[in-house]
Amino acid sequence: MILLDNPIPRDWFDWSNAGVGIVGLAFTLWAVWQATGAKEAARRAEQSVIRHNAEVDFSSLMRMAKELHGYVEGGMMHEARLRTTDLRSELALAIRLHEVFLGEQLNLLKEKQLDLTLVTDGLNRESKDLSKSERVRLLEITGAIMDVLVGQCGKLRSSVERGEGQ
Amino acid sequence: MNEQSLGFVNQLIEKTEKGKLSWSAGFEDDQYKTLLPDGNLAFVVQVKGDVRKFKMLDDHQDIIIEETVPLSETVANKINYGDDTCERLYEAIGNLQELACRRASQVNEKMAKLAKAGEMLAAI
Repeated sequence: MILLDNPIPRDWFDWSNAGVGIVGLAFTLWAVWQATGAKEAARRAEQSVIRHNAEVDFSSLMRMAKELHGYVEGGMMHEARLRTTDLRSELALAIRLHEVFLGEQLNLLKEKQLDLTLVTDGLNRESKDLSKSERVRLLEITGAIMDVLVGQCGKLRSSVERGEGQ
Repeated sequence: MNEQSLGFVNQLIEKTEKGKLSWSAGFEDDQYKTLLPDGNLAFVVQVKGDVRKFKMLDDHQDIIIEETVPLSETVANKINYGDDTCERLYEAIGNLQELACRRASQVNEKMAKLAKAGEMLAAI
């Protein structure tokens, strides 16, 4: 009653209450802002890790493609047949896993996947049955697969180094 | 399956004639392949002696349709059952393979370039 009759202390309480309220609101907004930033940072870090994994997977594919091309060049058809089967399944997996990062290259990679399927079927025949033109095409196909994978790997590596998604 | 395959082959012939599909050489001799623009379906056609082959694959390269039609089968089906579907499929695969071969080797484009070269030489 005394406080209500005396306007000065009441104003003082009012002002301090209002001040505490404003400070509280400011802290809440700051915490929300921090949480949003942390969530965004976590999302970027996740994207960066996924992109890095894609780069690692495509590096491995690139090495397999180089080996395959080497076997074909050296006429090691048994090894080439085994490598083709490995590369075909690994490429299928990589395309499914990293489709989101492949962009315009996706169709090109699917075309190479189809080439590998046809080569796998074709090589299941005895290698001595391969005609001269088939041998030439095999060399062209494995060379083209290697080029596409090297290009894709380069793109992914440069995007990781540029820190895209961060 | 033959009827369905025949439908697909005829559609592919139509689209190829209209220039909506591009074909390229496969791995084996006389084998040609095409991938739809979105990459969800692929088709492979091949003529190997008197055997004609047609394949349709999905986006994971799993085979949806695989037809291997030997000439002997078309004759037998027609004589024994009076069914000419096999014969029509055999013919259609042959026609498609021929078209695919022309598209893959860009015969029309090369002919146009030759004609243009002839005109240019004549104009000199």
